[in-house]
Amino acid sequence: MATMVQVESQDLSALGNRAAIAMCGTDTSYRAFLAACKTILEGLHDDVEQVRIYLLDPVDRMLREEAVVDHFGGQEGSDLIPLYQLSEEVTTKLVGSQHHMGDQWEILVPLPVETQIAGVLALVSFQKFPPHLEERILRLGRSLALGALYVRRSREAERSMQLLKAVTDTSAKLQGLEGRNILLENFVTTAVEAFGFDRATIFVLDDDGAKVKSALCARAGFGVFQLPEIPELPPLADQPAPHPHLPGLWIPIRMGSRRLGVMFVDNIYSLEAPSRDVLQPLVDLASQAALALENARLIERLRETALRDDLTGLYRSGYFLERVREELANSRRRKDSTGLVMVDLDHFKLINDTYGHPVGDEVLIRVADRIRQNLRVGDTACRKGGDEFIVLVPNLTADQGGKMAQRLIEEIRASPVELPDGRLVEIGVSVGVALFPTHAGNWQDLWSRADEALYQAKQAGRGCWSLWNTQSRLSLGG
Amino acid sequence: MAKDTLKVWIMPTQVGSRTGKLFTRAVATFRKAHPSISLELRVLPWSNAWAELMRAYKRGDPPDLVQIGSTWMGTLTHLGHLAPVPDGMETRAAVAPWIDECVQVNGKRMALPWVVECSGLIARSDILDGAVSESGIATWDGFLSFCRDLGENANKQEIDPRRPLPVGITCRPEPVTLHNLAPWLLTGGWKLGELLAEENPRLLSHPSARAGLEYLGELLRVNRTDEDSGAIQPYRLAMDFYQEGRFAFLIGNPWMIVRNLIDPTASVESRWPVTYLPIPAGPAGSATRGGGSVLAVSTRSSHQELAWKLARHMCGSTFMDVWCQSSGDVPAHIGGFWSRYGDHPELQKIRHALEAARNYPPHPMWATLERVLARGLSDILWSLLAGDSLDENGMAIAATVDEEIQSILQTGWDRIKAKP
Repeated sequence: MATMVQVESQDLSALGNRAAIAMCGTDTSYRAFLAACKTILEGLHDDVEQVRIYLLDPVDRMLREEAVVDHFGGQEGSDLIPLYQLSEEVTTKLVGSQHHMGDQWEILVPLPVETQIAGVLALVSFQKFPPHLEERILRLGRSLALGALYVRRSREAERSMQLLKAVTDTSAKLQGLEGRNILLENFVTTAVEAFGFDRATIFVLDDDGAKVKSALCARAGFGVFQLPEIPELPPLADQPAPHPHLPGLWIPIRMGSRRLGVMFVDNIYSLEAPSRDVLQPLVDLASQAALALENARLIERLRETALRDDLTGLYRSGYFLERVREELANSRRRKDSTGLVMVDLDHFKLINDTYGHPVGDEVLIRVADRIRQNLRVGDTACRKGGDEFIVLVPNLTADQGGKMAQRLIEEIRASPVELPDGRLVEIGVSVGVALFPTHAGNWQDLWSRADEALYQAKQAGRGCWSLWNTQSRLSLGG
Repeated sequence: MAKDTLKVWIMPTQVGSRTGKLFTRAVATFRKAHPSISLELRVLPWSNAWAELMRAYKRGDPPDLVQIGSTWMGTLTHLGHLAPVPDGMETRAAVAPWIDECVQVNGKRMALPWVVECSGLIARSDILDGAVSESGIATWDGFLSFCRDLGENANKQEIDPRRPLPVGITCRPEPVTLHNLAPWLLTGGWKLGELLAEENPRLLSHPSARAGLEYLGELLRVNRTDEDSGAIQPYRLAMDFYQEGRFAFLIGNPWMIVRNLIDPTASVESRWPVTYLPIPAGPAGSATRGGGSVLAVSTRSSHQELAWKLARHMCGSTFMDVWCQSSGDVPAHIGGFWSRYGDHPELQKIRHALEAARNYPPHPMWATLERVLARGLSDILWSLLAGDSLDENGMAIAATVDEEIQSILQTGWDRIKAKP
């Protein structure tokens, strides 16, 4: 009959206590378990070849090997056992389970906490563990369980502190930041780096809270990027909700009853279940995101108001010039042409003098509306001052520029302002068009060319358009 | 002078606790040639390797050189974790063209093929001899008929090597189940590659998967697979086959045949004569799934050049002669091992199966999808084990799994031209 002298002769509860104490230091990494494994192997070195300790992750119900020690040394463990793979003996009856592995025997000993297990101790020996010694070995597990529990609780506390710190750090970082995108970048980066997710994506909703207008995603080890296409999203809930098929969470971003966006954090690649304690810090993070988004929205609205002409709602010339410079640089990269379309009211002074300034204002508003209706996505219109308007039209050919000018003249002519007595005030405009880079190589020249073309249209009798041309200087239409 | 440390992670299937010693022996000449390098080896079990690797990448502390499953290539490349193989790094030709295809992602070579495997049928020759010819069980019908006879004669009370159960099959919700059983679905006509290329694919619920699923259900019934045997861990199942004689056939990788062939003194050996057989041909003919491991270098490694040197050494004969002897792994390249042992009839059969094998389709989310598919296939098998017909429950499970896969694919928005 096999004998295990040390297992039989030692007080295994005391050995378990010594191993548990070895785990109760400040280091809660695998090294705590390594120290415990070494203590056990030293106590049982004649009987046991290898000692391993597994700790149960209660979220994904996996037993993770923390440390493994044999007579040649020890190292961090890396094995993983799904709880369902353990026999009921260990998980429910809380007794040992022994099996043969090649020329060795392994006994799995539960580390019990009340009626459940906190982990498992694995002892490997060249001998079969005799049944009459099992109770002694179980005592070793019961003592060791206290140490395992201590490490688990310490790790949970550390993790909570880390998450709390991540939220407060993000909050502090936001103080000095401006701009919606920079703020959002910080949120998704925090979700990935501090919370350990594979990805974090923020979907920003439009002002009605109905449609996604932009989405920003951070992926571990990759950085932040704008989603080129907005994916179709499931109906958004008002409360945090798990993804039905992935380890991922939807966290709504709300300001009061208004939906501003939604954050999705996931482990789509690692497939690791997020820990339970991550939810509240994520909700806190989403609250900060809501506040930051709302602030950014207000600032954007203020900025927008400052950029626009009070009467017509078109941009003022300061912002317009910025857009012109920016667009010409884009046009140069794209190797296409960009147009400036300059619109000037004919005989506006006469309208003011005849009907008064309120009617004059009405006329300006009408012209601005017609211009606005003719804008494509990417076009920008500005009231240059007085009765002059300019439109920046990216990707415009000479032919398209002429057609646009003609359309503006006709539509404005067809939209007279009606006076209270029923009389109609007819509106006429002249239009000048110049193209970059065909007519000018920089914004200043382009501006001058459009102005010259406008002047030529005025000279030609008003109510018509002209395109600046290098050969004949001008071509007229209308 | 401080040494440069190369962190190396490997996931041996069968070497166990002797891996460290074996690796040290196999890299001895490399260490001698590069005395300034210190090698730090970490041995991981396959069950945990993916999660550990992902954690390391997220922490920014990945291994310099890592053994990875060939099916992970698409995902890891997509995530930007793998450095391309340097231009001009020559290796010997692969045993089959699909092995080189596994390491090519978007036209770039992202890893070196290392070892290969293909699922097959490992049979106890003592059970076959006189009872049935290899050609008699080369088709679905012939194999099922033979298994039915074995099942009826099996000793159901206890393990009896003379009256074994027909087939050792694991139904566990793990990728190994998919790897082992995918060939049966493919021989049934499953069009996995074509289906996966579709936008909202139906994979398991597609009509082409049906014949294979039905056949597996029938095989489980004939096999009298019960809850206990269906849940056995793959290594235990292999030991039940090789050492206890519990089954006449085992579905899986023929590592034991290879190891016993080249190292008859191995500590664990088959107690029965065994032979490798291809998966029986089904309605769509013969097919098997090929796979294996490749050696890759992390983009975050600050020793990429050294890591590639080591990778090349690990693919060479000096390393492989030592490694294959204990692991039973089969090298991905011709020469060396194949020149020495390739004439053996068993290895010829394995080589033939490797050449005819198909690997999984390359997909940036395959590493995620294969786990969902494995779980789904397992659920269907358990439903069939419980006595449900495929129509009663199995196809509904398949449809749910497909919905899950579609939902995951829709969430893969970072696959679309993501640029930092």
